[in-house]
Amino acid sequence: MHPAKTNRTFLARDYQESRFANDGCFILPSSTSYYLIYFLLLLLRLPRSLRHTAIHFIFQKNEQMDSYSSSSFNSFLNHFRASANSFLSQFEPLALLLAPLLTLLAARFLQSFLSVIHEKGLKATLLGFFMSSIKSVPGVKSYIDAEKQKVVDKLHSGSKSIRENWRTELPTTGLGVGVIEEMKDEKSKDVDWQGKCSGTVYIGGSESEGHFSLINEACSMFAHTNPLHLDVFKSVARFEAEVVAMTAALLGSKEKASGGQVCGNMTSGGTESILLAVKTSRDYMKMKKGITKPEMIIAESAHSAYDKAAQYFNIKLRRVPVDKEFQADLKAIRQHINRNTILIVGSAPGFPHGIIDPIEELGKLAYSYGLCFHVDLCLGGFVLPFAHKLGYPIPSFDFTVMGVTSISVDVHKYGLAPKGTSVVLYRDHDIRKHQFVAVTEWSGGLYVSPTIAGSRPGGLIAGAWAAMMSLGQEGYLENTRKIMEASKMIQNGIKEIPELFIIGRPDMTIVAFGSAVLDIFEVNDIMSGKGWHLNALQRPNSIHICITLQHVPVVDSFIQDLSEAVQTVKENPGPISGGLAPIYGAAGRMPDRGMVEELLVNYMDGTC
Amino acid sequence: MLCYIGGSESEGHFSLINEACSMFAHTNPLHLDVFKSVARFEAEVVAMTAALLGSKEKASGGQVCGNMTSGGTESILLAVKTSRDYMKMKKGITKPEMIIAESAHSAYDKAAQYFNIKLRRVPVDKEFQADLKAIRQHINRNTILIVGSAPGFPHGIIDPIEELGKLAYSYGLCFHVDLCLGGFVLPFAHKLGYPIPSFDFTVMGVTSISVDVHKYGLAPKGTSVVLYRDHDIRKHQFVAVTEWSGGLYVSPTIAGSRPGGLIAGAWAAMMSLGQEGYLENTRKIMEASKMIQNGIKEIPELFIIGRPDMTIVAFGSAVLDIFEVNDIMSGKGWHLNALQRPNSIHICITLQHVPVVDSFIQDLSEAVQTVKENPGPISGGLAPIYGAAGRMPDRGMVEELLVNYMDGTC
Repeated sequence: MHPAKTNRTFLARDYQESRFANDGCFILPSSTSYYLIYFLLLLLRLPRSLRHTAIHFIFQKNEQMDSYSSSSFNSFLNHFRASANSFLSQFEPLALLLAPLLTLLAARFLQSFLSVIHEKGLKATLLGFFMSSIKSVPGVKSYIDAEKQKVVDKLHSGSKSIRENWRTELPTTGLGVGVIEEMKDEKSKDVDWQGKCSGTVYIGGSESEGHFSLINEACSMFAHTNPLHLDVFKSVARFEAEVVAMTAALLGSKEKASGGQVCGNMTSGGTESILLAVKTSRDYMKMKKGITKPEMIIAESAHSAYDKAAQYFNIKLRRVPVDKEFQADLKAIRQHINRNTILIVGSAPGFPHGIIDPIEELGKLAYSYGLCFHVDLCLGGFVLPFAHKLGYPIPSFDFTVMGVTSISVDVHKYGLAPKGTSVVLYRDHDIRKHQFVAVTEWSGGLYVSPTIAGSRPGGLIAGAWAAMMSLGQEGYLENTRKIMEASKMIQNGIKEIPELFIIGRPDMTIVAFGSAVLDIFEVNDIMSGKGWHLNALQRPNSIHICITLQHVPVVDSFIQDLSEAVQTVKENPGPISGGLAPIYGAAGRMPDRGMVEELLVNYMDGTC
Repeated sequence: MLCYIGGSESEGHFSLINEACSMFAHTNPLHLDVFKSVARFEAEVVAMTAALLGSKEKASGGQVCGNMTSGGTESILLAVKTSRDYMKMKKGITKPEMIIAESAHSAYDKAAQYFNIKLRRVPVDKEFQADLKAIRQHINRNTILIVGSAPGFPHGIIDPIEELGKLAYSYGLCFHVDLCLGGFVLPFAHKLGYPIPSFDFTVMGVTSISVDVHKYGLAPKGTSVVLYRDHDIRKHQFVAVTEWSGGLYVSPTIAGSRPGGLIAGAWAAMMSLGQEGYLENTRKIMEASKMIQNGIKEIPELFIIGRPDMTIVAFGSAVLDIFEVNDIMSGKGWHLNALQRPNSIHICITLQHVPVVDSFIQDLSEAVQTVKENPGPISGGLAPIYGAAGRMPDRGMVEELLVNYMDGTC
């Protein structure tokens, strides 16, 4: 049967039902198709004459169906129109009009819901929804807030009363030089930190002699300088350039494999170096690949500064669990790479367990996908090159590895420089240019800034230069030998304690250990009582010591105290009064990570 | 402008703060439980600074809080980041914009670039102050923040803070007052009877303030304070990390580890001077500023830009190339700042200048005479470069030039 005939029959029926007056008056037909098309034309605000012409045209066309019947495309269209109309005619016109609008609304709602999930993850979103519905029950919110406050108060552990005595206003009359006595008094109340803190102080000896004395003198000599004014303080400009170049040379900048274009700047610390590396990678990849919704992939062991960078610079962060050796999991990282990925990170070593990630493999991965690859040598930068020289089995980690685009190194850790000195390095100038901020529209003049800060304390730069130049390669080699040996001794000591196990295979000077039979955080509380300040870790629950020159003379007493602490907890299991074990444990188990975040923020809010 | 502390760097006040820094060079406020002394110094510096800026007045709400930072730029970056996150929570703004005057510091551009915020720089009015009308015109539903400077760096003029505060309050925006330069001068200048308009937390609408201790606070370089009206806003400054195997981590400012020595130095500076010390210093520098302004008015070829409210005096010339005057002054050993829009130079007066006001005016007069008699670029001078950069229409090329310049320095 000819399709047009079927078509025409249907339309003809409609057409016959309508009355089309010749004077241009149009009487609304009862059929749905006329209704819809007329409404559409009304919406389009076509004038009456045009509406008539359009309707006439559309439905006149059917009269001339026979003359067009030779065109199969036309007949196909009409056939389609007929079947569509006959299908749609079973619905109310109003419903047909509202359906697309409602669908659009629903789609928008779904889109915003999906974007929230994309940002926070499905689990976090559902939990967040669950928690907010619970909190809307009257009384629950105030109960939760009260409990939160209890935890925060516990964390402040009595220091609130001390804070009440603190000054809140400038004294009317200055103390003059008498201020020094008051500072000495305040300092004497500090805990005994020498040899007792994980990390914290990397320079050996007391703070008033030896190496400390030297760098203090250097800082004081240049305390009036500010590298923002390069033309005035040329000495500091030189110190900075030399510190950067010397550090880069430790990390392969002079090797052919690095490309010989390595450059960088000094920063105020590891966090700033990391922030800058991430920001630079973001802007570089935006230019290179046009990525506007950047993502970065890091291991669970990578430093919290990457979270800070992701929050600051609007980058989606993917934290991937480590593998069985507690190293960055290549396979898992590869799975997360997508077209928005700009950066992956490897740590050498990572802060939690002191283990070096597979830098070479990560470099190949980054190179093959055209991503930036940042190697976090904040801890290892001034140890690994020397440990390698001493014959320790250190895998490749610097610019000689293909794919590495940036490195962060803290001079104020094992570089033994004053606190507030770090270096960020890039493979070449093309990448680094994206670190700079140039401002041309300010009436204050033409301005270009290399790092985060504007003005900077030149004294610290001078102190870093003094530290590096006074030690030289031999000094660092000797220090590295001492701390690597101390690390070995501590690992052996811990292995002798059957209740403890060491996490992974420490590559450097950080030793993390846990326990399958006791609560390791209770051990930490006992050690705190003995004056030790160790780091509490999670996933798995453990504690670590970061060994520095401060620990070299006290390795034996550390092992001794640790054995005793383990014995104490073994004989008297259960939380120690005033200890933080319950809090650490609870925070680890709480599924609502948003609440843990709030607790941390409230704690910090109360400190200053 | 380079050094705010008077005298030589090896005696007097400098000696004092160096000793304080050295005493605490081993400390790091990241470890609050170990170095309680430094935690106290920091809290006291913040509280004392806040008290100078109205935190104890009823009009401020009594909830003012803040932190120490590494400098004015960090204070500004944090204020902007905090405002961005606060407004995201409060109004759901996901494409934030901020409006500043042309005279506002370049650190706001840096913040806009870092934190993905659209920056609108609005030309100043005829008095070289922030133009309220123009700023209001740029407010839209994505605006999160407006900024007022007290005073601005280029010309040392205080913006209409009270009016800007009302504007911000009426639109429900954040309002940051940039007191990096003025924080340790204006409260005392006001006490001394100088006509200083309102500028601190007593002004309704002010949500954050940045103050540099290492400028007129005479603290070591690397010390500044950022303050917020209340804890609800400030909480957005903190970064809490719960998913790191290194443990639970919360950081208040940009840095992680920080040099406690500098914090001790700032505390020493403030405590050794006290209110009387700052009052006396302010008296000296405001007088020096008046003398320099009078001296410049005596030079007919020069005109002062606007009406300086504090210790920065910017001046230009309608008859000679002011950048050539700058080159001559450089030759005489003076390091002044070159400005644009309009082309001018400024001196930021500190205690260092108090004994040499007369020789400055003398040298300036001579420089003006030299340029008047021998117009044309000085060999080795920067005048042609400043002039060209100002005239170049392709601002992108000027940016590239600046970046390439910086690329070659380190």
